[in-house]
Parts: sequence; C-alpha cells; structure tokens
Amino acid sequence: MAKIDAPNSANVIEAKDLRKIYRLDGGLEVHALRGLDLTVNYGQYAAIMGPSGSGKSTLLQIIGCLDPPTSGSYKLADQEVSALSEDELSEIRNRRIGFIFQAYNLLPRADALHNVALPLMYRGLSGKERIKRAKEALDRVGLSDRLDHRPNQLSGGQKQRVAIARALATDPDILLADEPTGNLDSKTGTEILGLFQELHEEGRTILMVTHEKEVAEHCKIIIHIRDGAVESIEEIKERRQAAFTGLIS
Amino acid sequence: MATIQRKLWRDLRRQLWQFAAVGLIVLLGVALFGASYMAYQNLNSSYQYSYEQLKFMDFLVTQRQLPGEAVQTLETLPGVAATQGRLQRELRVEMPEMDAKRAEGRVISLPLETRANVNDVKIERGDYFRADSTPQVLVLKNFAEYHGLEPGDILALTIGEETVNFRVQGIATSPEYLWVAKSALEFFPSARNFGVFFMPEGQMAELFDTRGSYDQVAIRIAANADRSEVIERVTEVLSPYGLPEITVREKWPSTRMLDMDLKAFSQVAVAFPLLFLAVAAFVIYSLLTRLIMAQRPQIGLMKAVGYSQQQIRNHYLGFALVVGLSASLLGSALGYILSISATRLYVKLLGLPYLNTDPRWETIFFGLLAGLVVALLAGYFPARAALRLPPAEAMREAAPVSSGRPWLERVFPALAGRSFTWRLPFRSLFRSRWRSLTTILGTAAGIALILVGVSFFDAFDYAIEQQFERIQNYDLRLSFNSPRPESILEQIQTIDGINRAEGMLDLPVRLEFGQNSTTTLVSGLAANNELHGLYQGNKRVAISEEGILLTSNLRQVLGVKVGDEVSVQAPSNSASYRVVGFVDQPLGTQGFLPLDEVRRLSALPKALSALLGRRTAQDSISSIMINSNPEASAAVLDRLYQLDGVAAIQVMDRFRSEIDDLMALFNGFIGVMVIFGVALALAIVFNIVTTNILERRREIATMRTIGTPRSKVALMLTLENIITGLLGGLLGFGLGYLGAGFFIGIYNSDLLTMSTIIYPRTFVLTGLGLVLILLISELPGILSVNRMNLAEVTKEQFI
Ligand SMILES: Nc1ncnc2c1ncn2[C@@H]1O[C@H](COP(=O)(O)OP(=O)(O)OP(=O)(O)O)[C@@H](O)[C@H]1O
Ligand SMILES: [Mg+2]
Repeated sequence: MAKIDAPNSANVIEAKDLRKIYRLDGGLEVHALRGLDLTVNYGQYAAIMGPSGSGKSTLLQIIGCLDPPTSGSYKLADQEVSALSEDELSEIRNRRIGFIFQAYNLLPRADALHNVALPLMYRGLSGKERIKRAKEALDRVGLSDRLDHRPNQLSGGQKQRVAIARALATDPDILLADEPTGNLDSKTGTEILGLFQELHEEGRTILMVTHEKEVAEHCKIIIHIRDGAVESIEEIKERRQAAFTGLIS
Repeated sequence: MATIQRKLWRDLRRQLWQFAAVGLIVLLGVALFGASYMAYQNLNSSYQYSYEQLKFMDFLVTQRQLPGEAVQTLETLPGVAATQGRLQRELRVEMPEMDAKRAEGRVISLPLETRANVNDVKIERGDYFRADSTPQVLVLKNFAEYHGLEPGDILALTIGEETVNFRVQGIATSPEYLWVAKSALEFFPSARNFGVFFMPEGQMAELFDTRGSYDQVAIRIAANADRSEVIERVTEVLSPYGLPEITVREKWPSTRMLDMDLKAFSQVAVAFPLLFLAVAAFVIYSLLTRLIMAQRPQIGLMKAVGYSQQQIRNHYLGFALVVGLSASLLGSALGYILSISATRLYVKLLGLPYLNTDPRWETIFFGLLAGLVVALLAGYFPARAALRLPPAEAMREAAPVSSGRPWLERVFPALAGRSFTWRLPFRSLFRSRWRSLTTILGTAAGIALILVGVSFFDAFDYAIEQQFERIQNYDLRLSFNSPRPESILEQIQTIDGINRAEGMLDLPVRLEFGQNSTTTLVSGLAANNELHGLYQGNKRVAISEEGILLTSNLRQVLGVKVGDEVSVQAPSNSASYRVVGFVDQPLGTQGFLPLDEVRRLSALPKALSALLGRRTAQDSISSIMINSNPEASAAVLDRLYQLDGVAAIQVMDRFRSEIDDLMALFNGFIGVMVIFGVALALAIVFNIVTTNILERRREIATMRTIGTPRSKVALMLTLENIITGLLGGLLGFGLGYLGAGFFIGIYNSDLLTMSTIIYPRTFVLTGLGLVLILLISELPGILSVNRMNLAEVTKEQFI
C-alpha cells in the first residue's frame, strides 16, 4: 500500500502552544488545553495518560481534526490544519487519520464488510477493489468469518476489531485510539493490544489514550498530561514489549 | 447515580422540540376540526337566527283572490301563531339608461305602518316605508348591489302597460330570499335580469287593483303545533275559494338551496377534519415511535439502574400529555378564532342578515379530547414496546433484522455499479423500512390532503367551463314574456352582428319513473341545434326523435337507465318517453326533447286556448339563443331590447361572472380547508424529514469522522428524501384522486353535478411543491448536522 503524499519531515504531528477553551452556557470557560506542545514522529507508538479531565480526549480530537483548537498551531504531516476548510478537513480525516473510538461508532445498519468499506468510498476505487481491501483489513484483524455480521451481532472485542479494520482500510498516516480497551474485558483488551503491537511492528504510527498503566506500558513512550499540558514523556524499556509480544503469539 | 439521572433526563429533553413539532400536527388537526365544524355550526345557526329574527314562515299558501276575512279567520285556527296576507306579482323593471335596460321583477306587499307578522325584512340601508303617498319600494340587496341602486334613487317599474316611478326607500334582506332563486326551476337567476321588491300593501293594492284580496298567506305555526294538521285545517278553511297551493318551508327554493349547500358542507366539514385527525394520528404515532425507539438505550439504562416500568412509562405519557394538552388547547383556540372569521366571510359574501358565532362547547370539547387521546395513544404504544425489551437488548443499538442485497439492486443491477453516493440512499431506504414507510405514507397523506382540497377548485372550474363554453354555447339568451312564433328568428338573424340564432321552448314538467318523481324543466331543441351543446363525456349527443335525453344527475334521482320509459307531466298534457341517453350538465337538472314534442306537450286544449286568446301555435318558442359578434354586442343588445315582448336578455359572460362569484362562496370554505391541508402537509413532511436526519446524527457524525465531505452527506440525504418523497408523492396522487372522488361525490347535488377532475397542472404543481417542501424541510436538519460538533457527537453514547 503506497502512501499518497510522501512527507519530507520525520514528524507526523507538530503541535505548538495548543489551547482549547470550552465555553459553557452559563458563561463559564473550561480551559481543557493550556498551551500544549507535542511532536510525534512517524512509526511512533505512544500512550497518552493523565488524570480524568486533564484534556486527553480533547487533544486526541484536535489531532484527529474532529475539533479545531481555540489557538495554537497544529501541523499534520507538515500541513497546517487550522487554515483548512471543512471539506479539506474531511479529506484529511479520510486519508491521513484512522480514528478508533471507545464506543466503536459503527453504522448499526451496515454489516462488518460495509462498515469497513465505507471510508474507501472517496478513493475512486471500483466496488470490487473496495470490497477486496475491506476484506483484507478484516482479515488483518482476524474477522474474515464475520463479514456479514451487523454490529449488534458482534461482541465488544469484535466490534472494536471492525473499528480498527475500518481505521486501517484507508492506510492512514496515523491511528488514533481513545481508550480502545476501555469497554473490553482484560483478555479481549490484551488481544486488541496485541493487534496494535503488530500494526506498530508493520511501521504504523499509533497514538492511544488510556487510563491503565499496564496498557500504556505496551507502547514505546507514555505522554503524561496534567491540567491541559504535557507534564513529561516516559520511555518504556524494550524488554517489556518483547515480553508482551511473546505472550500473545 | 445522581449524575446518571441528570444526564438521562437531559438526553430525553434534548428531543423535546421534536415532541413539540409533533404537537404542531396535533394542533393543526384540532384547529382544523374546530374551525370547519364550528363554521358549519355558525352558518347553520346564522340561518336559523335570521329565520327567527325575521319571522320566516313555516309554510306559504298561494291562492288568487283570497278575501281579507279568510286570512283573518286563519289567524284564529289552533296551531297558527301568525299569518300575513300579502300580494305577490310580477312586473318589469325599466332601466333605459343602464346597460341591462330592463329586468323581470317580483314585487311583494308588506304592511305600511307595522312590520310584517311573518316574513319581515331587514333594512340594510335606508329606511322602512314612509307614511306618505309617493310611490315607494324596498329593493332586495343583491339586485340593488348589482345595479348600484341606493336609497333615494328613482326606479321605474312597469305594471301592465303603465310605467310608474318609485322612490327606493331602502335596501333590504329577506328570509325568503337569502338565496335569490326565482322558482323551483330557476335557482340561479342573474341579478341582471331578476329582482325582488317590496311595496306597501295599500300602494300595491291600488296599482294592481286587487280590491282587498290577497294572493298569498304566509303562516307561522305555534311552537308545539303539528304542521301537517295545521295545513289540513288551513286547506279546509280555504276550500270554498278553490284548492290552495301549499309550499312548506323546506321546499321553498331559497331554503332548499341553502339546506342542500349546508348538507353538503356539513358532510365535508366532518369528513375532512376527521381525515386530518386520522392523518395526524398516524403521523404522530410513527414519529413518536421513532423518537422513543431512538431512546431505547436510555430506556434500557433507566431500567438497569432501577427505574420501574411505571416510572418510565409515566415519563413518556407525561411528555405525550404535555404535548397533547398544550397542542389541543392552542388548536381549539385557533380553531375557534378561525371559525369566526370563516363564518363572517361567508355571511358577508352570502349577504345573510344576521351572524351567529356562539362558542360551540361540545365541538371544542370533542376537539380537545380527540387531540389528547391521539397524543396519548401515540405515546403509549411505542413506550410500551420499548419497555418490553430487556435492558440489555434495549441498550444495544436497534437494528432491523433484514439483510442481504436490497431487491432494488437485484432488479436494477445497474444501481449496484453506481457510486456509493447513489447506492447508499437506496440501501438505507430498504434497511430502515419503518423510516421509509413512515416517510412514504406521511408524504402520501400530505399530498393527498392537498390534492383533495385543490381538486375541488379544479372540479368547480371544469364544471363552470363545461357549462359556459361547451353546453351553453351562446352569448345571449333572450326570453319572451310568453311564447312567440318561430318566424321571429328570421327577423333576429337580419340584425347586424348576429351570427346565429336558435329557438328553444322551455316547459316546467314533472318527471315520473316508478316511485320516483321530480320537478324539472324540459327544453325543446331543433334537430339542427348547435348552440346548446349536448355531451356525454366528450361525445356530442344529438337530440333524438326516439325519446328524451336527461341530464345524468337524473339517473340517480329517478333511478332510470337508457331504454326505460319515463312519464312527463306538463300542466296541460302528459306523455311517456323512452330515455335515449344521458347528457352531462353541471348546473341543474333538465330534460331535452325535439322542439315539436315540447310544443305538443305545452299545447292547451283547443277550446281553452280560444277562450284565453293565447297562442298554442305549432311553431312557438319561449327563448332564443344567440351567437353574436362581440364587437357589436352593445348595438345588438339595443336592437334586441326593442323587439316585442322581450322579458329579459341574459348576457352569458356577465352571468358567468356572477356564477363565478357564487362559486367563490362555495369555495371559501374549501379554500380554508386547503390552506389547512397544505399547512398540515408541510408540518408532516417537515417533521418527517427533520426526524429522518436528526435520528441519524451519530451515523452521520461517524461518516464525517471517516472523511465524508459535508456536500456528499447532504447529497445522500437529499437523494434519499427525494426517492421516498417521490414514492410517497405517487401514492399520494392515487390516494388524492380517490379522496377527491369521494368528497366531490358527497358535495354533488341535483343543483350542481361535478366530475372528479384534477388538472394535469395541479399534479405538476403539487409535485413541484412537494419537491420544494422536501428540500426546504431538509435544510434545518442538514444545517444542524453540518454544524454538528463531531468531537461531541462521536463521544455521545448512552451515558
Ligand atoms: N464539549 C465540552 N464542553 C465543555 N467542557 C468540556 C467538553 N469536553 C470536555 N470538556 C472539559 O474539558 C476538560 C478536558 O476534558 P477531556 O474529555 O479532554 O478529559 P480527559 O482527559 O479525556 O478525561 P477522561 O480521562 O475522564 O476521559 C474537562 O474538564 C471536561 O469537563
Ligand atoms: Mg477522555
């Protein structure tokens, strides 16, 4: 799968002085991000951790172009995002980003195959090609035998796999996951993490929000966030990951 | 727990405005019901009130040369409450300086010093009679308005050979002429040619030299008296003077016409709003079902955290109650206000003397109840269905069981190859069957409502067009005081500007077939007649020597079919004719025979005709149809009025505009209903379309997060809307046509026979209107999903 645009920089994400202020109805302001700086390079496998309300989801949504920052600069693959129109943002979301939600967010009326094929609609691919790629993605997450199941006929772990397959299908620059294991039991969670590990080894960039230290420790780095800013970045020892890989294979 | 609760209630409240929009449909349904039914009640009671105020008769006795003492005797009979002896004569109105030149007049006497005991008049302008010796008249309002007569004007009336100038003392309305019908056979006389006047009794007795006798007695009976018994007594008392002719109130032409109108109107006034309420109920039910189904996860969760079934159900019923009650209250108030303006309008157009708009509590109560019940039922069933689900299942996303490729794709494989943007709407059409079904049925109901209403205008228009362009294919119709020889036609044809003139002989008759009978007019037409078009559908029918042609509405009235023999009874002769066919004619009932046949029927016995010196010639005609050159019309009219014995000349163009005005009256109420139908249709389509979009917020948000551009989302939604809208539209056209047939059927009477006609342009305009409504309706939904905060919506889960 070839990249459409070859980036010149090694950084997929460059965020400087990001601020996000939510204005509530009563005139109250919530400063969710307070001048956050962050750089993520290609191939990174990072966890974002922090206390509840520290701004993790907010950050991920800004990175995923679901919400604009109130101020600050955000470059995704060398492109300044704040200047883009809504339609250009649509295209960015479609080509560069694969979002995986805690609540899966699948189309309830479409089966697994069509849920995964959905983002391929705007790629000028033939119907056959779209189906082929969707099958490959589902195969990749180990769901080749559930192609015609609808979301309500799938387990939580399977739904999350379909969501991952959908994120993968477009071959994005970066996978964003907000507590992907949050709704899953620990065994299923571990399986999903194993899948992420493999994807990382294939060279994908992954950014994942999590509450759990054990989950975060499967990544290469942990970005600690407190009060809307990066507090510290922790590197994880190689051997923990190796041990984990051994565990699932 | 507290947070969960708050969040839950907030989620539920977020859809409050959608409930409110559903309430709008209840409101319109209730308002329309109230407005049209109360308007009907108001109209009915305005008639009754006018009859009471003006002491309208219970029956009228007509008998020439009734001595005054006989009338006094009648007053003392048991059961008789009041009598009014009076004169009624025909005369000619001379208006040489006006364009109509002359008209036929009917003059009725009224007491000079007191007001009439029966059949009083209401003075609309000017005054009642003055006690002086100047000749004076009161003029009936419609004639005064047509000819621009005002109190103080001078009017020349010809009695016999003598023309006298009268002062117009006042402009009046009369309970006998709320609808100005000339006779039981002429329901639509033109105000140009026919007027009603009132004169002081003494003055009239002198002018007509009646020597203290009366022509008629109008009688009111006591409240508890039996009318037929009173009639019997009256007939007995009057028997020494000959056999009196009795006309009871409901057979009086004006009353008959208004009753017929009211009856048709009452049926429409009930059936139409009921249709509205039914449509509203269906739409509310389906919308609430969808709203509540969309809240299944919340319901499941509420159950999971320990709410009882009862509590949850009460919550929804509470919503339904609030929506139903506020909508019904507002709807009733709106209906009441509208009913008053509708009645005022109608009463003004019809020129009724009095208006009655008391609140009709029973109607208001029924409207309230219906609105409330509809809202509660519509809320109860879906809530119950959702409550039956176990919490775990309720919390899962609802998904239909259907799967596989939509049959549409199988039928049109080409569709499958098209781009996703095109295919998705088709898919979602079949995957969300309930949604598609409600959209299609809702749109169909909306379209049908509009069509049923508008079809009335088309049918009216078509009927009038038929009557004046195809059937009465002449510009002028000249009628004589008494039949003339046919030779006058040659004289007329020499007048410059006249293209063609044809004679006609009209004869009032009684038609009988088995048990059924009716009074109508038989017209004799020449075999080569061109100016009176006889049509069956599009086929021209010729007058036949073999028998009689009847207007098609007589088919039901008499229960006859082609080949049956009907008996025709004229005042002096009778005969049987075979029915050779039926002809379409919107206005009135009529029979058609060859001219010579009618001459035979109208011929008086030889001795009698010699005695009266009246002609009973083999070649008489009573009126002439004339096709003239429009540029020459003024000169032609001048010449025609100079002919001997011309009673009146009807100018068809003017007559048509009078009939148009009259139809505007009939149409007034229908118009109000059409406006409501359109409003309801708008509300329905708007609601459905908005719900269609909003209930997919999450789905649309997900599509957007994976990069679907806004324009594509809008395009897909629009396509889906248009597809369902058009399917609904087609169904609506069919339903509307059937509905129109039903409503026009109940509106038809022997005075007005309309066919179910919906002009193609009505279909086209309604269709275009539908597309427009669909597009406008989706705007708010699309704007809302475009403005949607993706970050927030994608986070939205059941908690
Ligand atoms: N739409 C919103 N409107 C107002 N305030 C918001 C909104 N979304 C988030 N916030 C506030 O912004 C702050 C950061 O929220 P965010 O969801 O990013 O936290 P988080 O780190 O993801 O927390 P958690 O670990 O609990 O998911 C919080 O104080 C939150 O209340
Ligand atoms: Mg969060």
